[in-house]
Order: sequence, then structure tokens, then C-alpha cells
Amino acid sequence: MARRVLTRLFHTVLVVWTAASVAFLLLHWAPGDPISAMADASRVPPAQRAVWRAQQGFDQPLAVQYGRWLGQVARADFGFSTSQQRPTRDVLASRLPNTLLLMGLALLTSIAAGAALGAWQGARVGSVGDRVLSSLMLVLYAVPEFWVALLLLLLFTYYLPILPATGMVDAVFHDQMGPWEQLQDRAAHLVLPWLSLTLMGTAVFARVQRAAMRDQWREPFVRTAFAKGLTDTTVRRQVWRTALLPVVTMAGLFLPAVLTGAVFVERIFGWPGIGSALLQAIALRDYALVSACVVLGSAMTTIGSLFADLAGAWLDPRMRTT
Amino acid sequence: MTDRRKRARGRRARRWRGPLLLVGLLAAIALGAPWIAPYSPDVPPTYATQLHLPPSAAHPFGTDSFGRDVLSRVIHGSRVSLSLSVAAVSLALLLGTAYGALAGLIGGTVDRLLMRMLDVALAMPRLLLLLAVAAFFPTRLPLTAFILLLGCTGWFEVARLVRGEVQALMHRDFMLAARSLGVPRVRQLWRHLLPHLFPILAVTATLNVAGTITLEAGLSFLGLGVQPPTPSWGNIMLDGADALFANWWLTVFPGLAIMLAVLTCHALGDALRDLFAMDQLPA
Repeated sequence: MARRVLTRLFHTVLVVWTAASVAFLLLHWAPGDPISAMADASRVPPAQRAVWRAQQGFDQPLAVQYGRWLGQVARADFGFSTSQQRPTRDVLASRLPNTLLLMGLALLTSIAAGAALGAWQGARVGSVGDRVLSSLMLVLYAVPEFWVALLLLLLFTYYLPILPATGMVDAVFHDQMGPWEQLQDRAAHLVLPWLSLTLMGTAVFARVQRAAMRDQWREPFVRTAFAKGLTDTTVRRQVWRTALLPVVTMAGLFLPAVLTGAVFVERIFGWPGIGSALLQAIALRDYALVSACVVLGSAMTTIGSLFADLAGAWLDPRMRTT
Repeated sequence: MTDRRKRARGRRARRWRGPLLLVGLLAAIALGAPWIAPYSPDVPPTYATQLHLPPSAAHPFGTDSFGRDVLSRVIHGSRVSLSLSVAAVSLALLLGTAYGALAGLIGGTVDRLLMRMLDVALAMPRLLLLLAVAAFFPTRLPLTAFILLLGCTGWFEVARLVRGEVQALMHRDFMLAARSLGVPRVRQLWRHLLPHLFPILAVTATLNVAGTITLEAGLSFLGLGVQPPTPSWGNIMLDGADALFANWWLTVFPGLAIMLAVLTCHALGDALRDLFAMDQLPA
């Protein structure tokens, strides 16, 4: 088990290193350097630019710069974000919690809802209810989540205006509210972004859970359990426990999709997270923030799959030995 | 032929009818776009009264802020979105098969190294890579570069599948025979392995096309994919996003088109899986 964790940790480091190298390559492949990309750089005389360049070390050999860049990544210091006009670390510190809140909540609810629906379906494959739900899940699975987000936005802020459209809190009145109202305000702003991510996630997990449940239902231990005279509910619970493993594995694999979804959803609902900061950084060619996001996103994904792996080992003793 | 077998065959034929019909429909729309589309996708009428029209008999999907007919743009967009996805997936299949087959055929340390590298590549979120390249690209991404980019970031999963399949095939008797007869590796791959890889590649292709259609739409929706005035399903939605509440038809109809295309791919994938009697493929 300890060896497994160590291998996976090494893998995580490898991934972050690769992501950092890709970001470095892209940085140097891009036209100009961060100095000329800075705002108003055209008005700065070449002599001054050369001084800045030397200060930042951009005149050093590529290998030296690469080493310095890796050092920066290790310290989670990605330099100055030109689009936000503050250090990248500050941007991450202020934006990341919002994204994690959204992603974490969506992930938890979609696993719960997906596992529940899938387990229900898996115990009665082929019934009317199963077929209706399967079609619904397939459609949800097939449509792009940003489209779902746009439809939800249209539906609940325009035709049936019961929810706020953008931001995390009311831009004007939030500060004047009492604590309880502030909480309500936050919750109301969370609903649509959360729902957009959750609908897609639920479809993914329900499909996996249903298939796993259906397969487990054919295993010999089910017949044994019934032969022993166990009740329907007890057997169902046992089957469900063994069928939970693919769902946990899926949770790890699904992280990139949540991350991707969060980028779109944050954009559409004006959610002040890392995704919307990234899109803004791309538009303004803020190389520091973009590369920070690439490294961070890769790190988050591998760490997530590491946790999924460990959870799987906890669920299924057979996986602990390897 | 026994009665039961006849009935089974009839059932299988019925399963094929839907997906094939849908694929034919999409292909016909994409190929025949200039003849099917009621208007030109990019030349707007000169009068300002045609702007932002809601769906009507003359414009079933309405018109956009330039007065262009949205139905015509969705029809022409299918050309771009579908051909782009098919091209990108073809490239991904080619790269993935080459890499996976190489790893499986050679085996040993090379295989382990190649697979470890693949694991790392698979761990990076694809959208982030695509966004980063789009961000660092000196100009707006040209269409060919976009296709190449989608192809070059889409083959990792294919490579892993192919390698697993090749590794399983290497232990089969016919491969043992081929190897002991001294068949060259290239010929082993070409004559003996590839035909067996066809089922898995066909099913993967359908699923990947579905994923790429969605991905293209997403990137184009962010303004980083297919560039205007070329219509794609994603950038039509981008045109509508500025005034979502004023012209919902710009968002709803391209989305329905994507849904139809993706569901078609899934149905085709299911039918193929039935045909090859495969249960154990990723969904």
C-alpha cells in the first residue's frame, strides 16, 4: 500500500514537471517575451527593456531559464499577472477557493445523485423507469454542458426570473445584508452554476453505476445471498457496495471534465473563479497566469486521481496488495 | 435457417436502421449544404429590417445580428463542425494506433517507458492544453492548425486502448505462428494485427467524434476555435451569447444540432459494439 502511494506520488510529480515543461516551451515559442507583452511596452525605450529583461533573467541561456522556471514552479511562484496587475500567487489565492467550492460541491452531488439513480436503475434493468431514465441520462451526457448552462440561464433568469444570473454575491446589496441574508444570497448565486455542472456529472455517474450494478447482479454471490434467505434490501445493499468501485474510479477520471466544465460555467455565470481568470488571461495574453493555470490544473487532476485510487483500495481489499 | 436466428438477424438489422439513417442524414446535410440551405451563410441581406428576427416561416431558425439566416448557418456549420471532427479523430486514430501498436509489438522496457509517458500525457486536462496553445499562438488559430491541434491532443486514449489490445493479441496462436515463422514486424502489424484492431478502432472513432464535436463547439464558443465568418456550431452560439435573452434562437438551435450529432455517434457506436459483440469497451 505504501509503495502504491509512493508510486502515485512520483507520478504526480512527473505530471506536474511535464506540465511545467510544456508551459515553458509554449512561453518561449510565443512571440516576444513577458516584457514586451506587458501593457504599454511599446512606449518603453529599448534600453529600458533590456535592463528589465536582464533583471528578470530573460537574457540568460535557455537551460538556465528553464532551471529557474522549475524552481519557481516548485515554490508555486509564477510571476506577475499582467491581466490582473498583481502577483499570480495572489490571483490564485483569491480565485481558487471559489472554483474549488463550485467543483467540489458539484462533484459530491453528482456522485451522490448518479450513484442513487444508477443503483435504482441497475436493480431493474429493462423496466420502463430504467429506460426513461437511461434516455434522459444519455441526452444529458450528449449535450455540451455550456449549452445546458446557457439554457438554464435563459430559463431561470429571464423567462422565470427567480435566480440571479451572474457573480457569487449581489454586487450592490450584499454588504448591507444581515448574516442570514448573506448566506441566502450566496446560495442563490451558487444554484445555477452548480446545477449546470451537476446535471452532466449525474449523467456520467448514473451510467457507470447502472452498468456496474447490472454486472454485479449476475455474480454468483447474489444467488448465494438469496439462497441464504436474505431479504431483497440486504442483497441490494451488498450488490451496491461491490458496484461502487467503478463509480469511485470514475470520480478520479472525471476530474478533468469538472475542471473543463468549470471553465465554461464560470465564464457563463460570471463566477469569479480560476476558470474565468484563465479565459481573461488568454484574451489579454497574460502568459504568467496561463502557465500557472496549466500547471495547477494538471496537478489538481493527478492529485484527484490519486485520491480516487486510494478510495478504491479502501473499498476493494483486492486492490490493496498491488 | 432456423426461425430464431432469422428473428435475431431482423432485430440486429432494426438496430442498425436508426443509426445509419441518422448518419446518412447528417452526411447529406453536410455534403449538400449549398443546395439545402435556403440562404447564403455569410452574405446578409442589405436591409436592416432583417436583423434579429425570431424564428418564422421565412427563417425557421431566425436571423442573427448581421441579418444572416441561422438555419443556413447551422447547415453550413455542420460541414465545418463534422468534417473538422472527423479529420481530427482520423489523425488521432493514426497517431494513437502507431504509438500503441509500437509499444505493444516491441514490448519490454520500451513498452514500459512509452506507457509511462502516455500516463503523464493522459493526466493533463486536454482543454487546458488546448487553451494554452491557443493563448500562446501568435495569431488567431487557422482552421488547419486547429484540426492538427485537436488531433495531436486526442490520441492518448486511443494509444492506450490499442496497446492493450495488441498485447492481448500477441499471445494468440496466430501471432505466435507469425513470429516463429519470422514475419517482419511491419508485416505482423499490417497483415495480422490491424484487422483485429478494426472493431476497437471503429467504436473508439465514433465516441471520439462525439467528444470532438462537443470540444470544437466549446472552444469555438470561447472564441478560440473556428474563427468567424466561417460558421461552426460553436461560434454561432458565441454570436448569440452577447445577447442571449434577445435572441435565444442563436443558442438553442446549434445546441440541438450538436445533440443530434453526438447522439448519432453514440447510437452508431452502440450498433458497432453489437456487431462486433463487444461488451468490454469504455462507454
